[in-house]
Amino acid sequence: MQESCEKYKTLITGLVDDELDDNKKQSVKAHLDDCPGCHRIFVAESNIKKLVQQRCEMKSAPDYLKTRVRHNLQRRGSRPGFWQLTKSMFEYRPVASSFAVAFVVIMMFTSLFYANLTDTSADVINAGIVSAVLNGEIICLDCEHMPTGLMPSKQDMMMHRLGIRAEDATVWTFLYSGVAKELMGDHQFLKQRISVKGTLFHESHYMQVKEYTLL
Amino acid sequence: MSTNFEHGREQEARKEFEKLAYVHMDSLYNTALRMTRNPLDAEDLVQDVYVRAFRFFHRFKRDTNFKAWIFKILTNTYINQYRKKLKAPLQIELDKVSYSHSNDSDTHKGVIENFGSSGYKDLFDDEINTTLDGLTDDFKIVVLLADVESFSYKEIANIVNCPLGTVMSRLSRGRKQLQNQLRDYAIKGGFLK
Repeated sequence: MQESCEKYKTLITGLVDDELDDNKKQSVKAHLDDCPGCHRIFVAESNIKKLVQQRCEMKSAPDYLKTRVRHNLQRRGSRPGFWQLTKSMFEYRPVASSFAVAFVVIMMFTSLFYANLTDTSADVINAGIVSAVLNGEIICLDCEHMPTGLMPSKQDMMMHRLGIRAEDATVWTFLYSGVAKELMGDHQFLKQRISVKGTLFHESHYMQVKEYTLL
Repeated sequence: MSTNFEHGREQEARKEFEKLAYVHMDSLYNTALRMTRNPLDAEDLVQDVYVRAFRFFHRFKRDTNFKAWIFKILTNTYINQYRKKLKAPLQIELDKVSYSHSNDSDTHKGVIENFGSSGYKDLFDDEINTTLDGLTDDFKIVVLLADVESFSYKEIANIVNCPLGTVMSRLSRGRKQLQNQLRDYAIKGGFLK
C-alpha cells in the first residue's frame, strides 16, 4: 500500500486541478476509493485550492498606474531598429539622405588622405614640422632636473617626460602616443641607445614617435 | 507617404495591443504584488512588462493566448530583474521543503483530517495572504498562476518554462507548504488541535 501511495502523491494534485487524462484519472480515483489516507490528502488539497481561490486578496492596479502605462506606451512606441530607421529616412527624404551619406563618405576619404600627407605637405614643413630619424640615448627630462639623491616614486615616474638626446646634442621630448607609451612610464630604457623615427616639432622641440628600435 | 503608412500601421498595432493588454492589468498587478511584496516594485514591474510586451508584440502569435503570453513576460522579468535584488538563498529553502515533503504522510495526518472538516474557515484573510506571500518563489508563482489566474498546466509550463510534471509537483509541494503553515495558524487560533 505504502509504495503505491508514493506513486499517487503528485497525481492527486493533477486530479484536484482536473488535469489528468481519462486513464490516469480512473486509476487515481480507484486508488482513492481504496485508500482513506490518500483520500484525505485529496480533500485537504482541494480545500487549500478553494481557500486560495476564494480568500486570496485581489488588489487592482491603482488608477495612476494605468495612466502611467498608457502614457508611457504612447510616448515610447515600438522602437524601430537601425535599419528600419535608415530605410524610413531614405523613403521619407531620399535626396537629403543621399547627400548626407555622400558627405560622410567624402569626409572619411579626405581625412584619410590628409593623414597620409602630414609628413610631407608644404604647409607642415613651413610650420617647422618635419619627419626624421634620430639616433641617441633615452633620457628623462624630469629626473635630470631633480636634485641628486632624490628618488622619484613610481607614481611620479609615470608622469615624467621622456625624450631623446640626439647625437648632435639636441634634446627632443616625446609626445604621448601609443608607441611612445611603451617607452614612457617605467624608466627601464633610460640611458639606452635608440633609433627613433617620427615627426619633429622644431619650435617646441617635441617629437611624435612613429617607430623606434633599441640599439 | 510611406512614413505615414508606417505610422498608421504602428498606430494600428498599438490599438490592437491596448485592446488585448489593458484588460489584464489588474491581474498582472496583483501577481506582481505577490511576487515583489511591495507596491512600488509591483508598479515598476508592471510598467516594465507593458513596455517589453509592446516592444515584442510583433512576436506574439495571434492564434495563441495573450494572457499567457504577457504573464510569461511578467515571470521572466521578475525572475531576471527583480529577484536578483533579493539575496535569499533559494536553494536551501527548496531542500528544506523536499525534506519535509518526504515524511509528511505520517506527520500531518491530523491536520489533513481537520482541514477536511473545514476548520480552516475560521482563519483570517490576513493569515491566508501572509502565508501565500511567504511561499518560496517557485511554488508561489505556480500556485498563483493555477489557483488565482486559472491557467492550465500546459499554459503554466510554458509561462515558467519547465516540463508539465514539474508544474504538477511544484503545485503539490506549494499547497503542502501552505497547508502546514495554515495549520500552525489554526492551532494558534485555538480552533484546531
